[in-house]
Amino acid sequence: MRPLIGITTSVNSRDYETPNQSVVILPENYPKAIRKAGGIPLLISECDDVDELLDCLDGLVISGGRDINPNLYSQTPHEKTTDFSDIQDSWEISLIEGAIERGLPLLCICRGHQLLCVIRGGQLFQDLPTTEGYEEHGATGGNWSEHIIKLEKDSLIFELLGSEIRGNSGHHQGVSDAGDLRVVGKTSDGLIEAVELNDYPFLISTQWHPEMLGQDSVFEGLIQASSR
Amino acid sequence: MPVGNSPVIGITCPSRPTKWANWDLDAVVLPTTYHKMVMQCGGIPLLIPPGCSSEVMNRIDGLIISGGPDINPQIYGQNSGSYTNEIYPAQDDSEIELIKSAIDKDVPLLCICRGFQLLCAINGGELHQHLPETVGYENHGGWNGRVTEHGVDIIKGTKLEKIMGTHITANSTHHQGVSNAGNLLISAYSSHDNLIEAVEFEELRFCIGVQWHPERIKHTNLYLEFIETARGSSL
Repeated sequence: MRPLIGITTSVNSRDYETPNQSVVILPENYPKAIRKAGGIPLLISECDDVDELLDCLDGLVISGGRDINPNLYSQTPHEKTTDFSDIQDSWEISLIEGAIERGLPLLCICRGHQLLCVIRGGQLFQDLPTTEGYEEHGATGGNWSEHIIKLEKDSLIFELLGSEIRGNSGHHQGVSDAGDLRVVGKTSDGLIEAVELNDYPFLISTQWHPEMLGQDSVFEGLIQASSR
Repeated sequence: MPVGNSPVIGITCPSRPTKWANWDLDAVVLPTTYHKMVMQCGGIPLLIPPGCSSEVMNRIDGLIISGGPDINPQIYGQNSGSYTNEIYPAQDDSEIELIKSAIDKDVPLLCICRGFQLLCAINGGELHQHLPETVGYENHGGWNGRVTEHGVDIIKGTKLEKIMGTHITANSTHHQGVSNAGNLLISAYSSHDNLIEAVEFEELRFCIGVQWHPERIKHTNLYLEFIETARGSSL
């Protein structure tokens, strides 16, 4: 049977069917990438009991989304850090911690990557465009940038993607310190773009969006690990 | 309740071009009311995006077909009317496959609004494509974002009557409606204009379709009964 992969969603308020409704949103390219790689994608949303939820899943994707509350890494919010949700933060922290405890295959993307690093004792730059050395890193004027990311040998991400890839960047925050995680990918400006957890069955964590770049091997790796 | 005993409830969702924050992409979107109601009633909600095969039925104990965009009128043998201009064939296809599989396997099935209309359409039924211009139903209720309320009379002896009683107040925010319920049992009509408001298959453990949105107006008893039936299949 094909593995069932849970993908986190973000709650937003918008006019949908009725005015100002609370809705969950997820770009469709996530479930499409999971399905293409041979998994069954199901979306998950904020809940109280993550153990019961994790019991249902064979693998987990923590998707991109809004900023994380800087209090979680002992900083006060920068003036550009305006959109965060304590409920989403604590739910996803429970999911990541629960998944790691179980050894569940885990893929963390963008916000997911940042949250994983914070959980493991890391720190974030709150606004790259105003951080010296990273001014050109993210999206400018709404257009995403692209940059070369060098991947470390003897890492899972290297096995799946090779030594060098082009990553995309639409984020305004970045990882400055990856805590106890192993840094396995960086851009030329030195930003931490990929991390792994030593001796873990399968964990990929990327600042860029593999689901937007057709990096099928990342998802195939997740499905293979989740099929065991 | 023992750990691991909660039924897993799949909820279908639409995908459509969506703008939010600094994104502008095809996105899966669903009001939070569905999964919140499922959690409140003791289920574990998993959202099913379009394109999912019926293989997912092996992993869930109950299925909700949610509200959303109009269904393709070709499903019930009509051409699109002038107000049926936003259809999503991929969502239609996967929901049809899921409904058929749920009926075939007797997996508890709750169909809401669009889901109710689709359930009827694939079981020999037909729709009114635009109630505001259909004689007799011009004042059925709100649509295009506007929500109104009206009474619903439930037929005695139906499963719906056992759950909800003979009369309820329902919300209304739809512009299409069921004109013919095919081989389903009609279990409720609107009080003011006799539009078909609910259907069921009596011989199945739980297969109910309703035109209104019970998750938005605390019709908890309907969800509770659905999830309790699904819990039976999870044992």
